[in-house]
Amino acid sequence: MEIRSSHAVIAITLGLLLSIAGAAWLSRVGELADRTTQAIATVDATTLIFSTLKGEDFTVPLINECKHAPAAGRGCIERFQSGDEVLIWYDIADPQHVWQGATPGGGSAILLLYGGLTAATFGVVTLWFTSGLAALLIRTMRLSRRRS
Amino acid sequence: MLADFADGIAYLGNSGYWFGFLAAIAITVPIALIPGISATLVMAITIPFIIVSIEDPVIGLAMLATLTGIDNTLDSIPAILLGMPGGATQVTFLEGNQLAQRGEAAHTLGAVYAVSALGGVVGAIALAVIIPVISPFVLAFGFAEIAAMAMFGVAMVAALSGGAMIKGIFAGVFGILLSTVGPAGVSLDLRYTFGQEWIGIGTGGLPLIATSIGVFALPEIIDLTMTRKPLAPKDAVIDYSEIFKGARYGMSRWPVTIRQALFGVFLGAVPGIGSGVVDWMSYAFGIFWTKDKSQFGKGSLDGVLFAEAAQNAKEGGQAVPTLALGIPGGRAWAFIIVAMLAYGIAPGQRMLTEHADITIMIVLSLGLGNLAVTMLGLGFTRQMARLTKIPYPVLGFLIIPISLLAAFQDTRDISAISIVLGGAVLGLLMKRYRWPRPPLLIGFILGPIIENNIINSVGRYDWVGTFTRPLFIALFLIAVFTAAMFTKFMNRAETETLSSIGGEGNLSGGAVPPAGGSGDGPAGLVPRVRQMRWSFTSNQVFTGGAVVIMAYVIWEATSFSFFGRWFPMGLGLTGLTLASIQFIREGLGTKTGDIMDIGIRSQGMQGARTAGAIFLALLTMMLVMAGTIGLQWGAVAIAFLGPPAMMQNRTGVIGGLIAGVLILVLNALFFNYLLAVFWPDPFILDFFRG
Repeated sequence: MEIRSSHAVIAITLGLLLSIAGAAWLSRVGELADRTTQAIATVDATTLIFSTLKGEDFTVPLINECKHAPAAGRGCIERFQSGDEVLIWYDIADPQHVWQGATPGGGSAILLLYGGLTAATFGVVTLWFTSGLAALLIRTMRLSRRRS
Repeated sequence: MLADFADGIAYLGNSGYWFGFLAAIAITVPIALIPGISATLVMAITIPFIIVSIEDPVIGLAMLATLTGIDNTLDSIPAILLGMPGGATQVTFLEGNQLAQRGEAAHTLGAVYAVSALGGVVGAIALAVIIPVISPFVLAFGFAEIAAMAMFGVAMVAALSGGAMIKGIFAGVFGILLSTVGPAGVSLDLRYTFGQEWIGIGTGGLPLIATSIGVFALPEIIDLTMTRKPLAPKDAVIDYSEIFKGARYGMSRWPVTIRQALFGVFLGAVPGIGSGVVDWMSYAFGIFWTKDKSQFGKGSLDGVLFAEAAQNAKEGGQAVPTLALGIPGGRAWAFIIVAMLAYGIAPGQRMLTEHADITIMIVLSLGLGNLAVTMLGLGFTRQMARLTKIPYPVLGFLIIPISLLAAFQDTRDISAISIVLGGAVLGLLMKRYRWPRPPLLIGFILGPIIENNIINSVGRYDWVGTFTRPLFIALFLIAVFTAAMFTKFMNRAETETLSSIGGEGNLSGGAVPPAGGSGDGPAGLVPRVRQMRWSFTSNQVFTGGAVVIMAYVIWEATSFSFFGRWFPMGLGLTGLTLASIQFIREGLGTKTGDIMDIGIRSQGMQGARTAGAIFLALLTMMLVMAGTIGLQWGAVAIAFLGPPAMMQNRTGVIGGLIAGVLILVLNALFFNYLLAVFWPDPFILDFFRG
């Protein structure tokens, strides 16, 4: 398929839209990260029980029943048992919102933002070559060299 | 500070310094010339002796710096002459070994010495200039920035793809995927081990040395052995005039050398960027600035010089974080930190004040070491280059067991030998079906750097803290821009290659004229689609296999935890798309440009099939012996029997006797007595013993 300037313009537009959407989403993830704090929760059957900094007690479903990382295709190596203690992260504004590790939603936001940046950069380079701007620049440089 | 520097320079008048300097050269030269033995191994062996026997830390540390500085030049000799690359001489091997086959070994080595000396001196000068001001720059490099630098390296894959962009990028993706085999860094998922715990458990993933020997070196050694000819043609000129002509050519390329050397210093100064990365990135960087790219991958002297200049200069770069911050710039420099601590010297800002004498002597020793090895090389290359006139089976059956031993030494795990053999099968298939291996290796080297650093950074700084760092964004955009530019330039090269071959045939093996594209076919989508004809070709067996493997990669990744899954899943999707496009292109008979890699040289030669069968029998015999009575005896047997069985003449018998005696002596005196290496246990016996 021959790549034309129109394809480059589409890539730039799509890239910019994706980047803006990704940046906005990432900003919301950042706000959530700012509201995040940690707590030690205790496993009770299929739930987690923890106290917030304010001293309120919460019970939420166990996020992941694997105590150790899952072995490839074979489920958990070892499962949590009642009484186990787990480090969790929660949203101060909504302590029912609990997770482990990095702030949720960040991976998809990054994918959008950086996917958009990649598409836009490729689009700009392609536009540069397909629109004849590169050839025009080279011709201008040659002309100015001849004149000098 | 200046007074401290002057104290350091005064060591040049100290006989103890020169004794240590010459001892470092005398130890390193013979050892480093043996394929597969790296500076790291030499340092590991010598470091206790140096610390115990040399009291003056200036002399001891300068000796270690000499040792690591000269190893880069020496490593290139077996890569060019014997076709045996180390972890950081793969480019030198790819281009230099082909030059040796054209009878240009002496010329090439002469140029390599000149460029290495110049590169080493540039590295040393850069170290002296940079070290007082570098701290803020190095400290700005966190996990995320190191990952971005590695992404920049991945962008170089486009440059290494030659005229076959899809194949090249797929090979890069596949290389990164190979690096994910084994236990995942953070999540501890066992990825792609097929339930076999020996894959990657003992070695923490597929080891670099074993994989690169398998994919890159062993297929060449096997191929060259099967040609049953010497590396160089009969009329190859090996004399001093050729060597000095090469050295003069190397010196005449000083502007390029300085450019490459400065790039090497920059890469070396970034902690976490290893020698293998410097090798390929400097090569791709050099290609980017070269107008005529047609000779790369086919035996280009400039290609060798790009990599060698950067490799020697990078030592100066790697010394920067080592001395200024105490962060080892590379594996060899980690040993220097160990020695510094043993001498009671803490790396850091004091290396510029009270320990400035050590810093200046390290700088001087790096430069002087490179100059000394250049002089030695120019003196002895004539004799060494004669190796290219020996029938290759004699060398090949010597090198094969040594390369297996080298792979084992790296990890001390028996699985390394299986990985070498598995890699060799993959490498031979890629050679046969014309898929480029350099992008695979660069992907394999860079994969863990990207994945581990991103996971570490996200774990520590979360998403926002990792992906909104200005330096990270800048490096990422530069990487994408570079990839886009390379893609554009290489697409142009592909078009030019295809137009130059006109309608003379189909490089991808299809029988039907090209469909689609901007060729001479009828205008409009519908007529072009109607003109397309599907036909199966032998190449599609390999490409179809790639599609199936990528589908499996995605399916298997669904069972991993999030942190174990995101990386291979993304790569699998990319790989599946690329392999499917290539499969369809091959089915439709679309032409593919030439790749930057060596094809099978013994293909079509008279008696190649018989030679292949004999080789396979000999290899099996060696492996059975290695598994029952030990690799050292398997090595002796294959060295004695290999050359006569393969060549079936008097030269083969004499060659076998020489090779057999040589490996006996090497085993007894060198490996067992001097290096006291660990040989792999007889694994077949161990299996039955339980």
